[in-house]
Amino acid sequence: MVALIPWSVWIIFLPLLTGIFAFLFRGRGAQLGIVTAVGLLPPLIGLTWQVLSCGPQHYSVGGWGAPLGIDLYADGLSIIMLVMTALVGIGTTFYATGYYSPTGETKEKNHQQDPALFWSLWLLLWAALNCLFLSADVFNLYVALEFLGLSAVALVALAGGPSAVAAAMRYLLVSLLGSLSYLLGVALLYFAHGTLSLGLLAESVTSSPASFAATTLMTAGLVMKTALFPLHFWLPPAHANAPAPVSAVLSALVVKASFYLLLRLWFQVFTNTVTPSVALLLGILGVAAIFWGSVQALMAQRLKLLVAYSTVAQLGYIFLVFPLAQGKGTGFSAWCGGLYFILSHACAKAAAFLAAGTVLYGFGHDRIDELAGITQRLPVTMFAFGVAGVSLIGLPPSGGFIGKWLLLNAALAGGQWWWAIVIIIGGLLAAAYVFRFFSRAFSYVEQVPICRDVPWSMELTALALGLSAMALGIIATQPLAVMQIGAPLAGPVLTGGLP
Amino acid sequence: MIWSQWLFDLPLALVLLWLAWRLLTSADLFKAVVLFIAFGLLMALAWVRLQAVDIALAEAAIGAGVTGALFLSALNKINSEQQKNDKGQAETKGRNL
Amino acid sequence: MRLFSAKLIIIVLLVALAGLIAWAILSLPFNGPSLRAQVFANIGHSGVSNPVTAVLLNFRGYDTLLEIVVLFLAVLGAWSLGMVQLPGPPYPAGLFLSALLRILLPAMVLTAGYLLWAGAHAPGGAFQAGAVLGGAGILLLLTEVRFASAIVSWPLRTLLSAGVLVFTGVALGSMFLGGRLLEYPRHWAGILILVIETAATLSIGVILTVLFIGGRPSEADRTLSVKSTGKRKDK
Repeated sequence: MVALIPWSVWIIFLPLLTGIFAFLFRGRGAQLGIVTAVGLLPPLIGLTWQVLSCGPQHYSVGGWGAPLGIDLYADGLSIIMLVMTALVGIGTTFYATGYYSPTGETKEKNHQQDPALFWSLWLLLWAALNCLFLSADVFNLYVALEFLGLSAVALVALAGGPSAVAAAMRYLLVSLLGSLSYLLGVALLYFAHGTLSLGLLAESVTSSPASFAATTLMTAGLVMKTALFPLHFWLPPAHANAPAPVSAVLSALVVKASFYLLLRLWFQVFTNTVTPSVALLLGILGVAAIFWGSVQALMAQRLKLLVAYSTVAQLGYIFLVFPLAQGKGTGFSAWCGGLYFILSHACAKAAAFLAAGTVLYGFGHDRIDELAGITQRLPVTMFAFGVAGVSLIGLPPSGGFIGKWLLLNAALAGGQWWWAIVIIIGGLLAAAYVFRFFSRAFSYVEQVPICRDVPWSMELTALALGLSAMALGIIATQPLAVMQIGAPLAGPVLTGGLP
Repeated sequence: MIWSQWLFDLPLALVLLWLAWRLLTSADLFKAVVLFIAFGLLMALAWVRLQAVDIALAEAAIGAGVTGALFLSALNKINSEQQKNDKGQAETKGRNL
Repeated sequence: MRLFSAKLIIIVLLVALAGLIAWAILSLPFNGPSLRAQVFANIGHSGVSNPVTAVLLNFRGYDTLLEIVVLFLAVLGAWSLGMVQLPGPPYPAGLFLSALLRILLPAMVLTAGYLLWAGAHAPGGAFQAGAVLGGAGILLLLTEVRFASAIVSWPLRTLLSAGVLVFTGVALGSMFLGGRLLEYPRHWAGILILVIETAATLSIGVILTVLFIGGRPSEADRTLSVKSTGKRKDK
């Protein structure tokens, strides 16, 4: 009986409904957020159990079935993304209950930020992410992309002030351009193959002018939304100017959603049209992103901007999956490495952004040069930032280490050693920008800057997310087992020499 | 029979392209909005020719009507902001609605 | 010089893109595969006879549900830009304008109602009807701002979210009745689609009107305008 419950429907509709209720009943947002965070656990566990025991799950909405109706689909990849969303989502929700708590001081600080709108938009964004990770229809995925993009833009604008609104406007235009490019590809696919279902398209797409054009358009649109160098220009202002919980969600989850779609399309639909040279191009852009993002993060004057440029750099790594998956026998290893990297980066980056947000909340600014000695005031938050930093650099025993290790192994086993060099140098650069901040924050000063009271929920959630990035490095077998279900690539998991 | 259809469709397509070019290159925002509304109405006609009456209705109502009104409202806001900013100058360049 | 080269790159990219799309389209057969046959084979079970409505509200109803959420989000996006005052009428409505509106507004509401009803068997439906309703709302806002300010606060929020809530309610309701998500009980399909479309029409109309205001109408305005109208009466 439990096996038949359509858990995916609940995963989509619970946050959708609570998001709308948060709009209707202003002032109940925090409660609704907690209801969502807790209420999503049973369906998520149920769906994971279904996928683990019976393989990938299909669900036909309206009972019409694939070409005519829309199908929902969940495999290992979807589960990984949904669990990542839930981890970061639960953390962000509890953080926001503190951040938007109605204490007098907060109200004065955030007078422009409307908590009711935040809760409504954030829960709807959560619904959009779940929609996207569960859809098996290219047009439905377009709608989910718009749903996601619009809620993310509105959340950036929520911070108020000219810089946030300008960043939101730029984000909106980029987001729309990306989705329209994707939509043009969808139109071409339907015109050529008469279906919108991912599964049926996978069977019928061959190497033809139409599918080549569709691949180009959809890849370009999604790459823009994922902020791959040199199309990353919109990301740092948007992510750095948003309210703290929003920055965390944008960097940890929203950019991953378009990348998820790219993975689905490249490895399941366009297998006949993608060429090694295009994969190589994406890899090279990824390398450029690693270097450019790291250098910018090294030079950033503000903490949130540093973390945002770190996202640009870290997104570069996941694009290495495309060239690495071309290697003989290394495909699955690269696939797992990329997914592991996404998962641990989500936790670590959310922790880093939440910690940076706490610093901004406590001290009223985030200028790195004036943050000497803040560890004496916010030890828990700085510890959380430190743990997250370890995963971002990729030191053992963090989740980031496992991701990089798998990618390194895929590079070396496939004879593409040059990517390995990039991965190692990228790690060193990450260490440089993380320690640049630490050297200020952990220094001992007599005159400690004044910090206002920070709700405990803000400090502890950042720590919990940082620790879960660590935990991912210790419990590697279970996530790897989930990634195997329905994976488009086969092969061994190259964990040679793993401690 | 065929040539009479061409007689209608070809000018329609050309006028649509011309309007699109004009509205994109127009320096005067008010003019661009008016051209946009005209473009929306002719586009609705094009949808009718493509036998998509549903889309034609939506295009006329949303594309030309409501979007045009939204643009005019935004333009009015920009102009009144500008007027606020250069209060000293008696001349107001913006067009009031 | 630098600006020129950026412009040049964009032009080259656009020409390449246009060439790519043209090449792709010209390579395809004019009457390629489509779902036309499947739509007409199943339209008898959809509850409506207009194929467009059947696709939008039944076969691919899930897409439409999410699209209405996107429209709703547009309002949240505009509101996240901050509070605005309701725009006052630029000048008092003259005799001609108010007489015209007295005829025009009921006619627009009637047209919206017709489009909504006709959607089941002819071109029309919630989006078109909602757009006409939205136009009526904007006209009302431009001339009778007092009326608009009376519904700020929770009635407005309820109207804005009614489309999504009713659609979701029907979608989940049909699941509880033993079907799948959005699998309407067969004999009720027609009436349920009309119910969804009615709520969606209202919401779309109100959403478009509210977008015209360009921000969250501040609830302080309400008391303000009531006060000012009171003063006017005193005079």
